[in-house]
Amino acid sequence: MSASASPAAAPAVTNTPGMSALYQRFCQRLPERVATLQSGWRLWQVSNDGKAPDELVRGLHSLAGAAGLHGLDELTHRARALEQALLAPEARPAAQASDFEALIACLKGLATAP
Amino acid sequence: MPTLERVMVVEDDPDIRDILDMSLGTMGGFTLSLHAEAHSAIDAVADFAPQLIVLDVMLPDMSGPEALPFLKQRLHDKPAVVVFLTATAGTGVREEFMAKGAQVVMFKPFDPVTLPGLLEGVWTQHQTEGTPD
Repeated sequence: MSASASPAAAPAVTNTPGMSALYQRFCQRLPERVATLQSGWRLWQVSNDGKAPDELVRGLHSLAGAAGLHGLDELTHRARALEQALLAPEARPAAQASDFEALIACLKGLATAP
Repeated sequence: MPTLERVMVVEDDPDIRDILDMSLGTMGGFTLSLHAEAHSAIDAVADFAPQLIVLDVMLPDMSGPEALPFLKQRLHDKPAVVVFLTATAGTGVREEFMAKGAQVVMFKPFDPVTLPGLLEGVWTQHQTEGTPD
């Protein structure tokens, strides 16, 4: 996956009654998701066994599910691909760092979008 | 035949839980019991007596399939239709979760507009075909 951090595409389902408000709430919660993912990432960087922490895998899994419901296909794809990559036995932080940073930049972009 | 009224939702992600609340509560008109963890749902299930349970597969305290026997045990003679909710797609996923006790496996993302009708259909079908164990 590209390491570039283009802003996520506009969600497709926010015109559903009630979804617009929930999308705003999703965006407001993004800094909390970013903090959780970064915390999990730091744990992985210092872990001895190389296994990605549950906190990180779970955070990516939840993010993919929530982003998908808001029609954020690019973000969903990034989160799901990274989750799958982290579950591979040979996964290591250095190899996934660019994809992780791209995901975080994507989340921060959404969180600060008007 | 009774109509579907009481739905228990067990989903740890707050954004997905909010969407389920809007979809099934506001739009669907069901009475909901919402839970972020399996233990909370297990504690509440007997009193609420749901007719249908939407159960996320990946929960923080135990998995949906692990929680299901405890939920069924607390329901005694008031069995509910169980819908597993998962973001994990792939060959054999549906069959795996059906074997673990779900009557239906639903994949994320789902359509919040059509979800209430879908669940009503599932519930009606199971009433017609026989109540699950």
